[in-house]
Amino acid sequence: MEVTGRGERLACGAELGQLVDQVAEATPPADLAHQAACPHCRAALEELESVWGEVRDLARQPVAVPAGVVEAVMRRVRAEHAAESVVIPLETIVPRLVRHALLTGERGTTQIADSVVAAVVRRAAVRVAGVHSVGAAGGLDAVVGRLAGQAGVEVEVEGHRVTAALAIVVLYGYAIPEVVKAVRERVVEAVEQIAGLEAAAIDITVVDVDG
Amino acid sequence: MVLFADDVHLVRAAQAHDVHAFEVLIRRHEGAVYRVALRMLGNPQDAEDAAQDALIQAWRALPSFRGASAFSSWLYRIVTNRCLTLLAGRRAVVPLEDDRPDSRPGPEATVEAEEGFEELKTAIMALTPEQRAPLVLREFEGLSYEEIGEVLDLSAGAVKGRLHRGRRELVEEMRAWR
Repeated sequence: MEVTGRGERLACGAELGQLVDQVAEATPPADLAHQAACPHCRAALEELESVWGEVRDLARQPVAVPAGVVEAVMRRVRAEHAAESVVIPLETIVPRLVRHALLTGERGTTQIADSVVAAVVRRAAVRVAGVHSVGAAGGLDAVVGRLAGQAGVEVEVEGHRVTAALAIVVLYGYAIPEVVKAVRERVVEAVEQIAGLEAAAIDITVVDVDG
Repeated sequence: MVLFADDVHLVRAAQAHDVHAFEVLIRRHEGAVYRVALRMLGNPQDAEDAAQDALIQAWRALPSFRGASAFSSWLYRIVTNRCLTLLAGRRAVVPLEDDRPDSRPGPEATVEAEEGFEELKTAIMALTPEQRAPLVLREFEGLSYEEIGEVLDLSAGAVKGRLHRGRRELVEEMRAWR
């Protein structure tokens, strides 16, 4: 390769750097006609292809990962994970989020998480004819509700008594008072028959009409 | 079957403290992580240590991974940075000519490393780490300029410039061997 100095240009004026990138990236030459005819370029390209061929060959070599890397990492990960997950009862951290309905029986107590009660309420409500959906159409309430598991439903349980508040969207065309009445009846029924609890109050807010 | 889940789902599970999901993820990517470390550091022992450190760091940093880039890019970023930090440390502690460690693979290293390519590997190690990183990610890992830019916090243009200079250097080094 006839190169001057550190090799910026060939004798024909072509930039060596351009030829390097051309070979490395396997891109078409900037000046095909010149390269095809120029002995300097052709000699340089030939040498570069040979040098870069070796880079490609090395890149194609399979590299064996030493055995045991993942195992060593996972030993450390498990140790750190175990140290982090010291069991603290959830209720001591978030007493307001996890609550239970409490049923005291002769042979032990039954606890039903309020998220379960909320799920029961929600499912009962969405099955009522005329209900488009349960939950505010977007907004903070829906987001907060979704975090707790049930958008649009708030449940408070005290012992076996349940107070529920739910937001519903009514299908356009249905009489809202009748839909609300049916929702309340279905929800009370579900709370009592499915959850086995007592429905003290079911507050319903119609937040939208749709459909 | 979790083995066939894609990275996105595995990452989500791992972020929810599913240790097994994390294991599946790193088994999938340990090859790339180790290869980058090997090409950046030049010997299998250091590469193994750096790959392990990078994967442990990935577990610790997992809660901060937001999925803006692919998990693989994120891992490349961690391991590349780990190597650059190690190499910066190496440079800082070699003020004496006589103490200068040989960057070529030692005899015990070559037993485990692949055969041949000694001149090329030496030439790669002769590049500055800043030139070597984009070259390794491009020529050995096949990343695009944009992906390399994400890994190294550089614009695609800056990646192109560094690659260009790195390739030039490499070619000069290789020609010197011939």
